[in-house]
Amino acid sequence: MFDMNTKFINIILGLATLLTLGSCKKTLELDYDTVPRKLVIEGSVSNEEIKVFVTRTSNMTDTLDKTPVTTAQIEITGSDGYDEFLEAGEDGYYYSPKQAIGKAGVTYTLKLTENDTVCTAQSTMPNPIELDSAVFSWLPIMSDIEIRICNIYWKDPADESNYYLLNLYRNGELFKSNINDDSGMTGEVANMMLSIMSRNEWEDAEKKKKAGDDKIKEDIIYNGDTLVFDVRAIDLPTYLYYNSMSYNESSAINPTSNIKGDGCLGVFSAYYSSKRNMIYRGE
Amino acid sequence: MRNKLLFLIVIQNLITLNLYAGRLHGTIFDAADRSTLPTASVYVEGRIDAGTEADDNGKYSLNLADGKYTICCEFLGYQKQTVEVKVKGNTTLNFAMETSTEQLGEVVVKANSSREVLEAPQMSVARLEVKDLKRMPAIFGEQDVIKSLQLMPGVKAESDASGGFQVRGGEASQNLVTLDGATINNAGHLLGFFPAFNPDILRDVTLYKGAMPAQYGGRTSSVLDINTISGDYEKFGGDAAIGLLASKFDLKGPIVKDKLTYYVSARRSYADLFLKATEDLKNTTLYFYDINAKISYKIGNRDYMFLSFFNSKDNFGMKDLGKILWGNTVGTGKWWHQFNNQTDLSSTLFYSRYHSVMGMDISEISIDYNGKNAQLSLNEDLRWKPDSCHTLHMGWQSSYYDVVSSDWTNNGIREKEERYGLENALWVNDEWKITKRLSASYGLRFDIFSVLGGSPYYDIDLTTGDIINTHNYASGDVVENYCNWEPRLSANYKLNQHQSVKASYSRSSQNVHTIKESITSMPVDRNTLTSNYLKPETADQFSVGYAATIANEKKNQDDAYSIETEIYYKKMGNVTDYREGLQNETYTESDRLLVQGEGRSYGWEINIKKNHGKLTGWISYTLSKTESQIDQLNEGRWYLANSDRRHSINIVAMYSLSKHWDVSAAWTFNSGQAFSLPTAKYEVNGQTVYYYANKNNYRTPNYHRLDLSATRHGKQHPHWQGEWAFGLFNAYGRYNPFMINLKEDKESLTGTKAQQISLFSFVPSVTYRIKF
Repeated sequence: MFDMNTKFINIILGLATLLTLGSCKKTLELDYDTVPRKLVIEGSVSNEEIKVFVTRTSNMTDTLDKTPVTTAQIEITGSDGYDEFLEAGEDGYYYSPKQAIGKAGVTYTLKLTENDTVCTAQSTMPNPIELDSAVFSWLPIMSDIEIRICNIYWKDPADESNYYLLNLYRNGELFKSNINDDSGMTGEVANMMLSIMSRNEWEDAEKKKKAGDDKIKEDIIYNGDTLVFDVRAIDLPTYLYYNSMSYNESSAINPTSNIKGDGCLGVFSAYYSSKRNMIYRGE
Repeated sequence: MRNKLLFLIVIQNLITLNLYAGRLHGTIFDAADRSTLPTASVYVEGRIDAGTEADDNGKYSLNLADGKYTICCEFLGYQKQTVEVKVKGNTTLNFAMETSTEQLGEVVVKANSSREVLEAPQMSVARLEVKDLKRMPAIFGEQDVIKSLQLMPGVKAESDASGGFQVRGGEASQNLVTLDGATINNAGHLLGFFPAFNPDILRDVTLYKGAMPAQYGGRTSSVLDINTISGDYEKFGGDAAIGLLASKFDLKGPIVKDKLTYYVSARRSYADLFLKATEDLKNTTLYFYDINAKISYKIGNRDYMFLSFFNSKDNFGMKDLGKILWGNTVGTGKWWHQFNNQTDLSSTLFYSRYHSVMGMDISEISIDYNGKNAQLSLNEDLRWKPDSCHTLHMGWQSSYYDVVSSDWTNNGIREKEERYGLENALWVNDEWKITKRLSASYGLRFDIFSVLGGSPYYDIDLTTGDIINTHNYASGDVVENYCNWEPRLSANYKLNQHQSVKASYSRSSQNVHTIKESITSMPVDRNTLTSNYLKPETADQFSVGYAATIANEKKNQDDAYSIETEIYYKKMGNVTDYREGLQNETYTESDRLLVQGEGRSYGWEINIKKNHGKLTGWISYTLSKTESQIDQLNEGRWYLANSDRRHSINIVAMYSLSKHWDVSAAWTFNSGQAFSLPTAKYEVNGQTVYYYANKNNYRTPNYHRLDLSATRHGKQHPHWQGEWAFGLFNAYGRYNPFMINLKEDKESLTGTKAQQISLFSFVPSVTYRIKF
């Protein structure tokens, strides 16, 4: 996605470096305010499963606490008459006991109750999509700089506005995430571009790996890495959530959540997912 | 009894008429280039009630009873003139002023002269003589009007990477900046690193921080009125300067001697020429330029006109990657006509257009973001001086706005919001010398803004920002009218020869709103107009002040030191901010992004100046607070505005070492800027998300910086003189905060670190100038 603010700040920093003796970064010790912990909901109804994960916010001075909250009562209902209470699994996620899956066009409602906290959210599952291909290439941007980019293609459902979230996982961990909408693409092939890494950094990392260096760089895709592309058709409120989340830190804004109720943060999304796996072979 | 009273009134009027039977008038001009000197003071020696200022065309008029007088004329940077004159009826007395090299060496940036400070009714005014600006410390060897004003109390820089300035808690976009009467939007080169206005063609600069005369309007924070020189009616001349990053030249001279003159001035940076020599950056575009040109014509004794043109452009780009460019195009025509010695009319027509482009072109992504802010205005200002006690301004301004808040092309799909508005304003203002001690400037401005059709307007859900209904109006249809009555009052009471107290109130409104991308203004910030949803921003400001001069009798200096202090309270209406969770690019429709509420700003300013001697300068301090309250933000609680700074200190010192060397230093301190720091964090979709419970709850570290400069004036040759200017910006290399980022940090215990980014260490500069 095109984050104008970030790009512009980078231009300023580049200019400052070019014009002067250079910009500087230093780490600050800040005295953060604290507030009572809030519930964080990450709920999904997809064409594969129904799954909700509940945690609590962490203070800024603490490590991010991902301990699941398993004492909540969670009910999912659908505009097609679906109604079920989810049960917490051993991994801390709440699942559908009937192993139900979502259906395109159905609006799902989540209701969570935990002690005195009650939250609700709604999301509608978009029409199916199918991921077609992912193409890697080197893009020269200056005389001696090349950037690895990946263009991902899928078919875009015709005659409707569609919104997408793309997650790229490397060896099971999220590597890149991006969103877009289908303006200008309706009924044709939709496309999203991810910028992956520079050739210099990649070649350097591969050399070190061959030389026996065990330290894996998190921003590099190595030869032999397992990649999973997961494109999700999401509804507009979910898209707006992820869109505002991408500016969360740079613009100091809270994402516009579709979850209603005091004391709850996060997002509830009914989405249609299409995935492809591949082993990375660069050159 | 009634008849007696009537008789007394008639007698009094007859006496008054007899007293003012005479009138002294004339023009004040520079003896060298014959350019006129507006705002020069003319007064009868020893009589504080008998004085006036020259108007925009250097003309003055003084009502005096017939008799003999000693008339004084003063102007900063010029030698004072004292002339004996016999006034009988209409008497003409012109002043050809000689520049004062001695005084130039002593005074660098000087707000109003002590006499003006003590006697002028208008308060909260900083007037900068550009002749005096030239030895201020400056980055890249260029003196900067805006950076110099930022050393005045109540005026602050937005950040190191912005040409914008903030006045008394207002935003940069709430300052009206005019160049020869035309509005200039977002001027500034290289993100404010380079001055917006070429100092060599400027004549005078006036900043109204608070109450402004009723002739001015359209912005709520301040008015910065910049005027350029006419040219040179007598002889050809100019200067050229070569710096490390940019060079410039100015030429001026007569076309018809003493009738028609011109100047043309151009600057261009050439960093891109160096870049082309490097393999890595040869495809990079990086330059700015600007051109100023003006033709002035003295049609007769009673008519004067000029045509001026200003064009600027900043362009950065990388081939096959992206670009950002912005610029101003301004054309102005002004005609001044004097009907008689009491009455004149200034007519100004201008067109001002600001545009910005930001684009990206990588692989299959092609994006272009365009914005425009254009204004066509006609301004008529009739000045009438019925007697020596009153100067009235009456006039109107009509402005047509064409503002593109978004024109975005995303992979061939274009979205655009372009809106139109018509603003008409009527005003009357009187500057009245009520008694020998008391004077006032009071007036009323009536502003009516018509929201015009030709673009969709929306009913917006106040809570969610969703569009409820769309209204399409035909082009030219009036969608809505907003009226604002804006009273202005500023009064001065002179306690004695050395002290005065002042008070003022003013109301102002603004219909062009800037949607700021971040806490500092950016060239690509969106602009939009008042609409059916977005209401005009307003400000009501109250100020009281005290001014004094301290004499040094040993040195025969009447104003060896001067002190000015003011307290102000500003109440702001329809303060505009982003709706929760939204930012610049979320929607094309600007109304959806914004919410409005109220604001307040209050503070205390003090400035102590040393006016004479080899060492001159000042120390100023500002204590202030600025807050906003918008129902939809921060749970409806008041929060600190981004422009809030608690303490601000400026120390400026200029020293004349010798005939050839001048040195100066300026130290600035500002409390940190308010910004939002998260109160908690969590994870969604494998990414850390920060939770902001309170808006602007934290401050960046304090900002402080020392700038030094030294100027060596070369030998005066028969036809030219050279000059070296050395500068050191941020002399002790303080890394001041530009922005603060939060980063994931797997090595720390908390997993998060806060990182301060600073733009500059110290920046040396050297420039060689030649004047001919």
